Amino acid sequence: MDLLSRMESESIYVIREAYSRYSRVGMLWSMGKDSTALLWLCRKAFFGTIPFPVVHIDTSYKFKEIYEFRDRIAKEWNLDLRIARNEEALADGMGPKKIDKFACCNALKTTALKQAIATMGLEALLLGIRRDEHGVRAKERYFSPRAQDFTWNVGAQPPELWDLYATVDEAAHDRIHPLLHMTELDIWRYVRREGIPVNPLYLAKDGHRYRSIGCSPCCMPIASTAATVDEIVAELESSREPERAGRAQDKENAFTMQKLRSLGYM
Amino acid sequence: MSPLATRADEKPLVRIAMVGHVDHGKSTLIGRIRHEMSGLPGIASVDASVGGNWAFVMDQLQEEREREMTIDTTQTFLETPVCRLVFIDVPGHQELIQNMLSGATRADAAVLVLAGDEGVQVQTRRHALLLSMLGIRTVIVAVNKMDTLGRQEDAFRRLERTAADELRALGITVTATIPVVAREGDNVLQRSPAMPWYDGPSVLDAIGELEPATAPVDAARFPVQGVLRHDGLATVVGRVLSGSIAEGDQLTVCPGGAAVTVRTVRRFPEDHAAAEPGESVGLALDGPEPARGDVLAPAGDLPQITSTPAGRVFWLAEKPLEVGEELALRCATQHVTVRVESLTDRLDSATLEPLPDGNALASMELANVRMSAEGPVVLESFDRLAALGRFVLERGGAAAGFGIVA
Repeated sequence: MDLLSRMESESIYVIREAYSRYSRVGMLWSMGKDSTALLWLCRKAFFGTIPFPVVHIDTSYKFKEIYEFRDRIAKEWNLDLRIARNEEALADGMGPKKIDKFACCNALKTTALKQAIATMGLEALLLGIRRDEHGVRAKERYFSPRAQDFTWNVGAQPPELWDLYATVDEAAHDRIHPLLHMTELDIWRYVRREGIPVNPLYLAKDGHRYRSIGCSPCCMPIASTAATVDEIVAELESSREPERAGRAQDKENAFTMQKLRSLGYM
Repeated sequence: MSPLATRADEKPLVRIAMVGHVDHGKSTLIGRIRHEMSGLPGIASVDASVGGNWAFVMDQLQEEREREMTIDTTQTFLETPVCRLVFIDVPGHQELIQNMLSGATRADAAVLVLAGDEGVQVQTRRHALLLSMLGIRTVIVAVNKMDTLGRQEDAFRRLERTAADELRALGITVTATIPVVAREGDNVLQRSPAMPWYDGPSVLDAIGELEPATAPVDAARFPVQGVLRHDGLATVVGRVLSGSIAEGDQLTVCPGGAAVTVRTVRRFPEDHAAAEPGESVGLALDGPEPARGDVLAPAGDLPQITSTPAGRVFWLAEKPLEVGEELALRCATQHVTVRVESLTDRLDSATLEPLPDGNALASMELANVRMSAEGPVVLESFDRLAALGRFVLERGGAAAGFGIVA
């Protein structure tokens, strides 16, 4: 098997492990390239019919292209799509400028996720994070237990030996990360090979494209002429810029990502 | 071949664990490699918060930077024109051995880092012992902090001999021993002009010369992850550990012994080609339905089936393992309750010295453990098929120790 196929099999193994060991599983989908690749892998793992809900944590600040992409794919792939919003915080005017970006991410993403997990009674949640995205995500495990209050104790994670993933008794829910071993380039090569649909925000228009997408006020495009997936692969093969260079969240403070994640951020 | 040479067709991927005693420079060496390679296409520059402390490339937690110590294992990914490298950093501190194992069990190869001013220490030995248990039996030794030895050859040669002797006793072959100053980059990517007496490879070149391991078993082994029914078809899913599985193959369900025939190999989109080693697939079978934990294998070449599993166990948990204790043994997709019957040949992993016979195995000790299982267990020797020759012993759902089948 070639490397992409080996990585695919590893991810499918993790997805099926989660489904075999938990009765209430869900998947987080942000419509970005990673979680869309994860969605594709879930379709492969379950022969085209994903047997669990796909959750979108909607901050209401996403790009309009993201909402359009979501609704089109959800219909085409016949997904059990659930949309989760922290309505109370939104009614209260929460946004990136109200206090700071940290407070906004925490309220509109982490708290909305907490509400969704509670409402849906989820025991395990599949997420498309990768180790090479960020130094703190690099410390993740494939099966990552979270306490009742959602906290992640990064320094005291249970051992994860080989692919004998642990499901710790006292965990309130488990975060499952089937893409941990893939890099940004692996994802794009996989998107190219499989023909996975791509959000148009990633493709260059007028000399700019988004390399990482999230909420529109907090994502900056990069200068780029890569207008096709092939051109994105070629661009990344020679780029020297880190992937999340356009994400405001990572820049506010050196340890913002660690603090967000320790509170249950994705 | 050097990882920096010209492009090859299919790039191999090597995952390298950086192991050794606390503060001998594991994170610094990876950080320095990362820094020196950041001029290359496709490799991002290290972030500004590192500020010349190369360990911070890997140590990204606030408490790691404040204490200048790696707490959790982490990985960094580098892609060169000819190969792909994943460096796995692990903590050197003995309290954090579970984090070291979470990293090292993902590695294909290892660099053992040894500080020139301290030489072989407790965790150097313990990490080497663990590598040998995990099946990583060739390593590169980096003798770091050569500046504290005046970059002198005599001192280096003494350490080279000591390390080779200690590692040989553990069954580990050293492919290269390299004098290094990780902080300043000596012999990291390029040969250092400050140590003209050294004519061996740099750390990166030595990594490029590692040979990939091969899997010795060719008979099919398919541990069952579960049976899916969500789309109205009963599909047995799992990953082929070895051999291949094609439509029409007759297989035995271990340990029960029932015979089944592969009706369809299922994938999405539909593709009926034979399943290859390492591949996650679905199988529609004719015959009695297997369950999670069963292993499918050809009748003529079955794995071991035993109700008295045994292995060399390294104990992790603070609370010792005692004769008579019941816990869960996990191997591939099997999950079986076992009772510990005996502990023999205990060893102290700090000194590698034998310990007197006893009925308990403390944290960081090893022993041959014989168990009785509530039902039959399917195993292979570790050297024949690693994925069926290693197991974890769990208490309360968390790994408390791991073992290797002789």
